[in-house]
Amino acid sequence: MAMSIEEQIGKKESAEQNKEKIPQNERTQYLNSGEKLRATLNDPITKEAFFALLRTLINVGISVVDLVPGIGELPSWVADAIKVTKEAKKKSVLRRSKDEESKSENDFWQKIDPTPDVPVWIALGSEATEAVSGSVFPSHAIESSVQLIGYDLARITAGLERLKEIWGEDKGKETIKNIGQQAEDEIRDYRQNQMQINQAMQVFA
Amino acid sequence: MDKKTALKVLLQHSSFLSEKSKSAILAKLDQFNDKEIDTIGSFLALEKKKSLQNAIKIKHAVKNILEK
Repeated sequence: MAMSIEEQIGKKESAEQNKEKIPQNERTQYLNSGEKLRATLNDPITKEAFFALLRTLINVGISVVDLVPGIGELPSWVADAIKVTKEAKKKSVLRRSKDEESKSENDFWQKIDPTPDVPVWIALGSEATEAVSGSVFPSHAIESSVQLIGYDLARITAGLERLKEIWGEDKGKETIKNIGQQAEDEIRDYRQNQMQINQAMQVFA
Repeated sequence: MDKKTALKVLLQHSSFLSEKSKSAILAKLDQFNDKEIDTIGSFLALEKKKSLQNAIKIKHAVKNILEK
């Protein structure tokens, strides 16, 4: 599982393993994306902002793979697996205590957790929802909602600004416009069906 | 508006669930009891509220950055 997530984030090992399979022009683009992501992850300020943005996108269900090449999407079960892995890593690090490399590794899992403020028991408890809907209702949705409460605009803004810097003026603006378009679509759909949606929300209030 | 109708409306306008998940839930709708409908409906209502709040924040952040 750990390899799968690292593969989605950095694409480093995957790129090395598949060098022969990727055409030269695609490989250049692929590695450029990887380099930019590594630059993102190497800057502590960028890293905080980037993961805050990433968590937001994941939690509102936007397909990150379409917006940030090299990331891939993180489905519910992967998100839960990250949380459990993070806890396991933390305990392992505590046992080994002074190992700096392990501390750094633990920090990685803390950062990539899509719902870092949600306790593990909520993440696991929300699995019960799947029994209700026969596994079609995403259990991660429950904890995502908890995480979404009081989300920080400043961190979202900082993350978008850094994305523009890292991806360059043109590509950065294009990516930010795509993110904005997702938000616009959500707002427009609500405005066009406001009365109906409000009535439906009121039923379950 | 009854609960099943409300659930259908919220499903239709959910930005979180995939079309496949929406169809699967709709297909099972008549098999759900009241408690199950309340569970899914409450989540979808909360999801709609929070995703709208978040969309507004993202829209403002994007606007500010692109205008710089």
